[in-house]
Amino acid sequence: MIESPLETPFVGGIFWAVGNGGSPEAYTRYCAVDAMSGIGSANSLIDVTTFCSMGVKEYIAGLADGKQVTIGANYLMGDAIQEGLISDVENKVKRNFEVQVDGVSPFRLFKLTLAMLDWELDPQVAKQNVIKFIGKISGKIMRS
Amino acid sequence: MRVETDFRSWLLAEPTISAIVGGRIFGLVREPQAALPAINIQRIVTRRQELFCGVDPLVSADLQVDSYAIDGDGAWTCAEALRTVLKNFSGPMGTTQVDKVFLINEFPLVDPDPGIIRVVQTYNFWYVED
Repeated sequence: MIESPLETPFVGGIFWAVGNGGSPEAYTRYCAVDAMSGIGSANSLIDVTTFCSMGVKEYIAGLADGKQVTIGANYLMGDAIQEGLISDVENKVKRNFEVQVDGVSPFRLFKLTLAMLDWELDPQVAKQNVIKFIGKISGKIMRS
Repeated sequence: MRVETDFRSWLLAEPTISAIVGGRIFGLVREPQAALPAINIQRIVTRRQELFCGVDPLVSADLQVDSYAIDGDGAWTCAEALRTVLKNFSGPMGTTQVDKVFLINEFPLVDPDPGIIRVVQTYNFWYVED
């Protein structure tokens, strides 16, 4: 039996795209990226135990909190996207991003907004220089 | 052009190297009857970085460069000349744009050919690939 491509693992085919803040917003794939982590959200834990809980704890999920996302990339001198993200951190602004999944049709999107928190250039002596950006997901991750 | 081919051509044109080995710089296999000293070049490792958008054009390759001579002093003279011309090298080698070269290993060996001493050097080349 041949499984649907949608039900099998796949390698690659996921891209980090950076919004330009326009309306409508245009997204450009940031191709120097070699690591992205922390895309998701977690609900807070609320204890709703009462005297009627029969001696066991009871919980519900509370407000969703977006994860802190780290993006690692090769450092490119003069790259407009990297300069823009550094400016976002300096100016304490938010930026929209897309995680574009097109390894398997149909195309899927995770749209998210990051409050830009951190940029860090990690110079290397004997391999390529890298840069890292950290942002906190603000608001809901829109999936389509 | 492959980096080892461009490297060989670059060495042949380097006066301090050609003064020692003449044109006896070989690729992959040293001619068994060739006069000494001589140099043999072979690529032993290639590493390419996979990015989310595809393969990065900056490539890391380790090239083993063997300096052959009939005695240790001769082999080391050749190896030290190689180290000197490649120290802090950055720039074009023929059609290959070399970003950086590092000498990462260096040791002498008694070659299987009787009476021949070989100094083995491993250079890590960072270069840009099409």
